[in-house]
Amino acid sequence: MATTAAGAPAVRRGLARRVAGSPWAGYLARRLGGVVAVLAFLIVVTFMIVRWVPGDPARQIVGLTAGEEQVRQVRERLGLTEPLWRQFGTYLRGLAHGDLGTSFTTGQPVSSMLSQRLPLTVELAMSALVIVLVVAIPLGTAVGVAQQRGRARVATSSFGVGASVIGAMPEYIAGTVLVYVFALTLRWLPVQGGSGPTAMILPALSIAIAPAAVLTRLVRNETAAVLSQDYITMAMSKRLSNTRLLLRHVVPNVVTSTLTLGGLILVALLGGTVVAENVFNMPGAGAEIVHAIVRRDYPEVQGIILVLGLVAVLINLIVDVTLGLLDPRVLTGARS
Amino acid sequence: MRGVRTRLPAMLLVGLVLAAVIVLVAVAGPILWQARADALTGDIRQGPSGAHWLGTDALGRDVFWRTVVATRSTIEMAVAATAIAAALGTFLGAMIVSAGPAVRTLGDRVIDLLLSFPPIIIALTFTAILSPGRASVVGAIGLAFCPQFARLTNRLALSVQERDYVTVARLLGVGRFRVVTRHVVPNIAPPLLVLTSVGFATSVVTVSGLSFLGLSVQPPSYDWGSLLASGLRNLYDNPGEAFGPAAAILVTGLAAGLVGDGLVRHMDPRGTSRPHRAVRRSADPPTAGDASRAGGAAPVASVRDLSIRRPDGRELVHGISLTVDAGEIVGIVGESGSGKSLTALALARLLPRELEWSAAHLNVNGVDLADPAKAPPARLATELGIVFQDPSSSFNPALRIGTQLTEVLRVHAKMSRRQAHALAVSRLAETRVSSPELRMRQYPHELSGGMRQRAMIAAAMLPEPKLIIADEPTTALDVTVQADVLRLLKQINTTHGTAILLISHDIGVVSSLCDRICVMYAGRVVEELSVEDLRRRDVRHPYTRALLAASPDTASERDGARLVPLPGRAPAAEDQGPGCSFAPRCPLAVPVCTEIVPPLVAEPSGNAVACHVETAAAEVRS
Amino acid sequence: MTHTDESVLSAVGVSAGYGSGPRSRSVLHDVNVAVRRGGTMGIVGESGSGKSTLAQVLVGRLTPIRGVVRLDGTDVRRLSRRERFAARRRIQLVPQDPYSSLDPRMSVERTLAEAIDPRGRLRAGAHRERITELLESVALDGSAAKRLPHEFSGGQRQRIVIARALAVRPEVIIADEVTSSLDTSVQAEILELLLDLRERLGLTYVFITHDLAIAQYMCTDLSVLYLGTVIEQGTTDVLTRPAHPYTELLRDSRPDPSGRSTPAAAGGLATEDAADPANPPSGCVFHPRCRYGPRTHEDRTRCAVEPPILADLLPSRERRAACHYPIKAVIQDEEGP
Repeated sequence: MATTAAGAPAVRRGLARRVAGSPWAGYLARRLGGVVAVLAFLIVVTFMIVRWVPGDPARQIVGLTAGEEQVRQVRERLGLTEPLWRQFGTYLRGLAHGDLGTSFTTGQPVSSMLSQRLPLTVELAMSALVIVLVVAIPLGTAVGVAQQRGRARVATSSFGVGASVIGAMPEYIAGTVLVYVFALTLRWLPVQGGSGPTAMILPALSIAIAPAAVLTRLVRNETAAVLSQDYITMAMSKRLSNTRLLLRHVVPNVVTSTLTLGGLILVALLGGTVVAENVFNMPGAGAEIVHAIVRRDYPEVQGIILVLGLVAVLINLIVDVTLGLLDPRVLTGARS
Repeated sequence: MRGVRTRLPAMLLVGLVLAAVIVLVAVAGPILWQARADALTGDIRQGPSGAHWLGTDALGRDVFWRTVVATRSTIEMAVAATAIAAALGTFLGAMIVSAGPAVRTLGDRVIDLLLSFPPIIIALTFTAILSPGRASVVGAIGLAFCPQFARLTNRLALSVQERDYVTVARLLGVGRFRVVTRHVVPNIAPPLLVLTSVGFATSVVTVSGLSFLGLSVQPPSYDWGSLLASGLRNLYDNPGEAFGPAAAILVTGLAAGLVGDGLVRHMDPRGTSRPHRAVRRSADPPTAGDASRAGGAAPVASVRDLSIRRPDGRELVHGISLTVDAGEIVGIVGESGSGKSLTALALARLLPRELEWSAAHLNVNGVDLADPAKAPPARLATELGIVFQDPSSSFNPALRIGTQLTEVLRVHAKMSRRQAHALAVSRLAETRVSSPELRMRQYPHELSGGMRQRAMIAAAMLPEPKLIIADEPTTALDVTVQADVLRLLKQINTTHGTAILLISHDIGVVSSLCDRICVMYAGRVVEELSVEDLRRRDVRHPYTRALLAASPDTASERDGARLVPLPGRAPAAEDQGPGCSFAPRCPLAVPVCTEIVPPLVAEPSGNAVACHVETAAAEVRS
Repeated sequence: MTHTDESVLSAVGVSAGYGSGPRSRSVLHDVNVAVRRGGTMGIVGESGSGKSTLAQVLVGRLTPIRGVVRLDGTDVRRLSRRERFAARRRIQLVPQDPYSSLDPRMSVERTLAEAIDPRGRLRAGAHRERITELLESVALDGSAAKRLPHEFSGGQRQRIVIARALAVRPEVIIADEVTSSLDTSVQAEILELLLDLRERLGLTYVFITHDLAIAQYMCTDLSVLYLGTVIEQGTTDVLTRPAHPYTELLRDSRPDPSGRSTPAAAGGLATEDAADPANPPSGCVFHPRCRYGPRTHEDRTRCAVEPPILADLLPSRERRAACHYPIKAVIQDEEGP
């Protein structure tokens, strides 16, 4: 009795120390737990898309004029005749084998359609992400610092208005303007289609412009907030050079606080690809989902939403890990 | 800042006027100009002209009037979607807050989860389920944005509920429902209203976006999104066809944004936030008897006629003079607004940029700081150590303690990493930080408050400075830890001979550590005296006397004696008269006190006092 | 032995904490505090001692995990709904932060009217006289009624908060660090106001503070809290002649202007920081910091193992300390002729 009483806390303390020794373990476990939950949610929601359609989805697909037999066939193809849990089982088994069903309109497997189209979407989103980060972080920091030091007053005060106007510009308008200026008027870049890096510039820009403006403003605000912190006064008491002060003490803290708030902006870039692909007629997953919705091609809709959702989950995970790397307080939950 | 504030009403006004115009056009458009918008002409895909301001489309219809007429459709949809999002989201958020802890956690998670997906993808999912069309797009967008409202409601309500005024209202017996209607709703409504206007802007954009993609209104109906889509197809022939709806969408978004931004700043109730930590107040020109003592060691720091001004010209510190001799501990004591911290920051050359300062003479350890250009950073960093008030916010949260401790040595003393590390470890040990090697690898948040403050003192001590400026170094600490930190400072002073300038609001703290004390009031030193005299309560200035009389004392002999509160308040910089700033509260004040600022007059003892009455009395005595 | 009979408010064997399940945090451990009618019970402790949690328990905002809160000797949980409403109004709280304790959107008048008539049964104008009276009792001008909280200074706000507490004619006021955010001179005003009100209205106070000098000045009785347990209890001579080493440490740490206590004097024993309240030490929670404990006396190993109970030192004087080796001077002194 005495030995177990003494032994159990010792073991527990040992475990606790090991977990505490590497805050990453607990942090990643929590994040991955979250990822699993989101995945489960995604799978259920995509599965339910067809089932939640008001009325008879099969009738929706074939149209009002089609015969009863045709409706029955479609219903069977969708697997709607079986009990719900059996349908879900089939869906899960399919997913496990990478089988997302077959498109109604093309007869192609959804998975092969995605493998053709998804890379373009991801490339587009990543290009936009790079543009946003490359613009927002240096520009926002610069404006924040200038503002705090009372330099370039006119430029910094008009910055706010400019950023809110540009930040309110949706992708389709930005895209239209870009096409008109660079493709039709200046003829520097191709209008639509085409391949290679030049074809990516305008679409990526059209997605990136508004979020870049919003994020720049956020970075500016965070920079101002960081600059007024006590630890900056402390760092200033060390009489460091401006560069060192900025790179060492300001920027890392700005990036963390920006990412905490701005992660959503980065995820929203993914939504932007859907619109941009349609503006620029690009053969990506985003363009396809619109067609699929219009044609009521449910297997395609399910597949694309599942995959785009996955990408969103991944971006969130990357943001979380970056935050953990930059700010150790995130790991232990000392900073919410 | 001031400029922005005065411009704000205009911003809100412009937003509201724009919004009113848009609503008018939305209501009147289809009634007045439907025919013009639908009229087919032979002029197909014409550019802008006098007859057709924005040209014509592929069927020869006038783009301008079509854009005008389409206003109603788009605005209707956006309003409906925003209403759904706001109503449903706020409701869900409120439900989650008022539910039990289990539901609350679950609700929080679900909102987090929904927020981690781009709204447009959520909207597309709902559109797919409901099948494309006007009504389903409205529903889909409403649902897609409702997590944001739920989150905001949830957060705001939680934070308001934790406020003391809600706690007290409940204790007073105010019912749960009345607490919600009287305290919670009024305090969370403004931010929600702001989100609603921002949400409306986003809805306009998204409604038009889905319509642009062909998922919303179907021909022959049209809205801005579908007009823009066809404009894009004709972009080469008639850019006006895209310009019209694009401009309409942008202007509407802008109007909603302006209203939102204007509301943010206008509905923020002043007074919910605390005043800034350093409340800065003050008065007028200098008369400073130089109270520094003659003879003795060369001063480590001396300042003469130091004045500090706000950008609007108000003076916060009025020409004060101060000397710290080698190995001496000098205390500056005063209440908030006395200018004590500003004086310390000025000595350290760390004043906020917006404050202007001037001094006849400012010298720290032989370095002339009066001329900013001449102050060599390396000498400043190594000869002057600084200990700040709040150890929890004064270390950079993103850097290890070791990195922050060794920085000055590495940058200014050009030490190697290893040398600097070894020195830092030994200093940490000296300041009684346990397991110093481990602390070097830890981040600030992993240390306790007392530990952090000792680490900060170690950091200040590292380059062996001649002077340490400690600005309220124990205010944020518990009393037992404070005692420990005070002991530590004393020990550093004895063993290393480091001079210390200690700033504190606590007369007990300065009297337990310092050799000499300067009492500051409203930006001036009103009395300078030795610690022995202070402890004997042998003080001259009425303010010092009042401060002592207002301080509770553990000493038993004061049992039964009541505290004597000081009547009135310290004057703000705006309303200081020409005379002694303490005169309005002073029991001894005579007419001259309100007319002439009393100079700081040194007494033979080395003490000094700035008081007409006291100086006159001293003259009579001698 | 216990003054349950004469005490208006008491906590008996109270343990309390926050949260539930594995994440729960226990803050108070078996706390006994009895507040004499007309007296001022000081609750003294440093951060993490649980003094604010005790305030929450006493005002009924937090339900103890174990133990009971008694009002006039009756367990408050036994009260009916209506009785509890009445009971609640007999005990009022003055919180620490005068900035978050007033609704920023409510004028002083509305704030006070709400306190007078929490269910809003009377007309808005009906309370005008009472409001003026309340403002006068805290030495504020009647013109203050129409203004909003942000127009007042910290000290004035604290007066308004006190006026609001007085509005319900309470018997007990629980003052939680009411002056810790104020300047010395303003602090003196508020303390004097509270003393004055105690005399005029016959109030009973529970006065929570970290400042020993204030506690000694304000209180008739004291309970010293350390990491959630009461380690010493008695009248204010607890501070002048402490029996518990922690109380002694507190007393010696407080610098005072007369220089009688100069914590900065070199040569004092280095103290450890207080332990993490979430993970208190074994045995006596204070033993790692104690200058009379196992750190300096090898034979006092008991302190690290066996938690001391709060025992009567001097039955006649109601003095209790939770220490295996209480400081002798107190006992000898009292036992002497």
